[in-house]
Amino acid sequence: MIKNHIKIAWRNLIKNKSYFFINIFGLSLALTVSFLMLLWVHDEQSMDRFHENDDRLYLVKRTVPLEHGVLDVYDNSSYPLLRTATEQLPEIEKYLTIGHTFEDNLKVDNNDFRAAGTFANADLFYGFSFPVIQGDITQLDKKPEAIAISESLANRIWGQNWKSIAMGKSIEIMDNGDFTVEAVYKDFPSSSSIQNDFYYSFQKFLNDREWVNEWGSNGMQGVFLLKEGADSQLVSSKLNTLFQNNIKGENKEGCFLQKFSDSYLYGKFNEQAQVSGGRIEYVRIFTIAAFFLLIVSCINFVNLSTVYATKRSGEIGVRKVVGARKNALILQFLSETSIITSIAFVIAFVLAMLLLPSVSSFVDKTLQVDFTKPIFWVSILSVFICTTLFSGAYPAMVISSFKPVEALKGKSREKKSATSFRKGLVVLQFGLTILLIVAAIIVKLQVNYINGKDLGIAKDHIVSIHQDENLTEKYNALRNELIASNGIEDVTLVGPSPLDVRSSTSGVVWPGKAVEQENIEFSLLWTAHNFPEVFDVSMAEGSYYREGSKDTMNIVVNQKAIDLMGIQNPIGKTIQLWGKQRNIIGVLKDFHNRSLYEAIQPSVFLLDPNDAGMMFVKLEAKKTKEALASLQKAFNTVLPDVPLHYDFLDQSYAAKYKSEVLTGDLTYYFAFISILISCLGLFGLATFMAKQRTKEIGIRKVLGASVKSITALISKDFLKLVSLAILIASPLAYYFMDSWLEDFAYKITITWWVFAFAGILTVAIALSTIGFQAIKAALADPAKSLRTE
Amino acid sequence: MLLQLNNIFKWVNSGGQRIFLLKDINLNVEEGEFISIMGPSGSGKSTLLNVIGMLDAFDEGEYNFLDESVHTLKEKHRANLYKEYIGFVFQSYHLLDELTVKENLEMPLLYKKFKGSERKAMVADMLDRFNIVGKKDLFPAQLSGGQQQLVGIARALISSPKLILADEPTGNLNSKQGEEIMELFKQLNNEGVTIIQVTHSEKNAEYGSRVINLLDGRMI
Repeated sequence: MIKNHIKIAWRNLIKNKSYFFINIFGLSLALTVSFLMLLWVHDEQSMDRFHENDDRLYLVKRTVPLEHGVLDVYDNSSYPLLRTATEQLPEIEKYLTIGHTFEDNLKVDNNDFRAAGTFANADLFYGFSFPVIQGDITQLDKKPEAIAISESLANRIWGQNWKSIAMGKSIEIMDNGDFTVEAVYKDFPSSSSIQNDFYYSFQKFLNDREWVNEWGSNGMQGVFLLKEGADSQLVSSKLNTLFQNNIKGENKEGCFLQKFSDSYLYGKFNEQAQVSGGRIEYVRIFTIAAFFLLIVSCINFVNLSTVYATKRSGEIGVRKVVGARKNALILQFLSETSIITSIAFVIAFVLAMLLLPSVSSFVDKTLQVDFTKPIFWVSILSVFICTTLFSGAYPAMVISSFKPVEALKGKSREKKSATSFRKGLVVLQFGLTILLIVAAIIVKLQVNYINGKDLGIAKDHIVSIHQDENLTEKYNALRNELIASNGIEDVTLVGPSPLDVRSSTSGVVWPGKAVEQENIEFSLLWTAHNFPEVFDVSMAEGSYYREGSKDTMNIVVNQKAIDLMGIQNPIGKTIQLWGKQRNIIGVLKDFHNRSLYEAIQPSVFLLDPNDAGMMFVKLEAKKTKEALASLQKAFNTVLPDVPLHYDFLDQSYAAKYKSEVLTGDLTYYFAFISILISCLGLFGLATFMAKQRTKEIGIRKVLGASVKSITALISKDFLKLVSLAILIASPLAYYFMDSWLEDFAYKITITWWVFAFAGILTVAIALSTIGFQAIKAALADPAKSLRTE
Repeated sequence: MLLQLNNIFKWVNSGGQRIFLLKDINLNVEEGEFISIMGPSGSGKSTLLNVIGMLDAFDEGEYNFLDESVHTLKEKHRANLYKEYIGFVFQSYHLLDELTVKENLEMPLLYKKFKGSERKAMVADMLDRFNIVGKKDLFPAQLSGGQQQLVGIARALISSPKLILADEPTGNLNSKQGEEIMELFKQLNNEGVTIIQVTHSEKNAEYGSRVINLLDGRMI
């Protein structure tokens, strides 16, 4: 029986190539995209879940109360909190410290290696499933000069035979001193959100920095390994109590626990410190988009097969008359569908495998297919079954319920309900397409807006260089050398990067500061006197610092800070910073000092070039090549021992919007594929419609209808459907995109022309698709079409 | 008694009026009969044949087939009944274009749970009986009209029905081919198969043992 079905299906396929081509092509396209999307989603969802202790690892989150009961959530905690909680709370087994990863130069036997790392205690390797290959990791806790490095870093430094060389070797980290290699660990898998080439002893970090011992400090992330069966909710509230009992202030900060593996996807919190999203939103968006595409291609299938079925009504009549039961016919048509889906699956799989490397680099991940995992086969199988059933079930039901007598006469007119069902599907299909087009346009507009927005500060032709002690010492010589060189305009010292100011203080006090304003954070920038010139930031009032190495008497703030403090005529007024009175000597115009997700922060600018942390070099426009050569030359002359490593500021800025750009690009592809598939379906539908109405068209022509009027007659029906789709989809698209834009503090307003454009585009494409068939039908010879009746 | 129709009425409602397709039909058919239904276009010949073949329902009256009262049966049981006992032959043959002669013959058996070997034997038997072994791998489009109808009849006969219903079986054939088909029917009838045919031709009607004339849905 099945063999028979397959045979017939195959012969039908050969006979009706265009029909099957439309189905298979559309379906394989949608499946390829879904398949790749599935891999990406799976990869996102398995992030950080490989740790054996996954269900016992909890990340400490800090809540900072602002005005009006609004809470800010941060990812950090303090060392005293971690240590004391582990001592006092019986539910906690260990604490793991996660330092902020920094990139630095490692010096080994006079060779330099660029690597990223931070500090750790040995429990990091105990709590997380990070295997150690060689050495004794507990040395990290015993010796302050101990360092553990990754296998790949060891490989880079000593080559393949590192195993016999690495132990006990000395490594100098530029800013942190000399260390001894005590252990080598296996590279962390790509599914780990933590990636570090080296870990130096937490003891060393602790010894160098007194502030780490303060309860209110925030220099690290903390993870607790809870004991088996511990109630994380309970620990969370105990932790909060412990924390609040030990910190100072009126408007107290708090803390809570989030499952470590959840923190990757659920990183966004609302004003009540409840999870409100994060990367999971992108996971959802793209799962839905892939699902949309599948639906759109399945709709083609349903529509084409039901229309096509009328062509086969004779066959169905005969089969029924000679004894086929309804079930047998349903089975026959479902197996035909499954043959088509199987072919589409094979094509999609091959296509996906071919595209995998480029997609991987596009989404910046190493996507892999793990054929050994049952989940892979289960997903594939369930998508296969769903697609087959969704595409095949309805047509099979319709076809198999034809009445034999009518079917034999070829008169099986579809029921009215079937026709409207099909029309509904076309509306749904184009509605989804319009949704994707609108989304693509708006995401693109927003990304362009971000890239083109006047930030109030220069970011082009500026490179940043890490400022270490050597550089600070030789800064003046270096600066003179650079300014004299070809292609370089100016040099300054600022820290942190003024486009991403993450350092802040709540230590600003002004006359009339309320208790609930206690935790308001002011962004903090350490600068040299020429900061405003180099970055093209102008003064709103007063003037910037004079040249010098420190100024503890005066202070410069931005307009936002003045607005917040409510000071009239600020120049000459005094405010306190860290308990000391300072005169306001200048007010800088506001510039965007964080991503456009966030509003401009009130900011304080200090004159303290030696502690700034970064050197910025402004290059002459169009002389980048010469300027970089000059930079290298100046370093070779002034700082021969320090390897030059620089980043372009505009590139680092663009990197912050990577996921937006990615979303924009992906939505474009989705929209394009969706239009393509929908139009394929429309083309097929128009073909069959024209065929079905051959007689009607013949009669109309005999009675004097023009080619134009007949073309319009056929196109009209479809255009009505597409217009209806536009009407339904536009408000929905508006709603979705409006809520997407809500995340940005600075955003475009959605204008009507986006919808008009999407609508006109869709109509135009649909019209050109149908038009061909309509004109062909209208041009047909009526004598021929009427004779066949 | 093979089948019995008592006071069969069939109508459609059109614009508030009842239009009768069949009016008070009474018919007894014994096993082994060869009946021809005649009448002008629109007199209800095909409708009557479809009612007898249970492909079409009627609105009033009784229909007994082999002691089963068809009018009380549910759709599914009715379908089972005709699938088991009735074979259909059509004016336009209705062979499946995608299947070869052999496969067309085999198709009804697929729906009746015969084993592969049994099916093969039955198909071979039929090909032999109708002398079309040489054509078994051809598709319908490669055969002449007479040959196609031959396959159509062979397909109707393959599951050994008690009754063959033929709706103008020679309507699309030239006179020589038509004669051959009617000879075949005659021969089958002699072997004991009951046949009811619809025809326009007096000459074809003469092959049968009884003629029923219809006019405007009524037997005359």
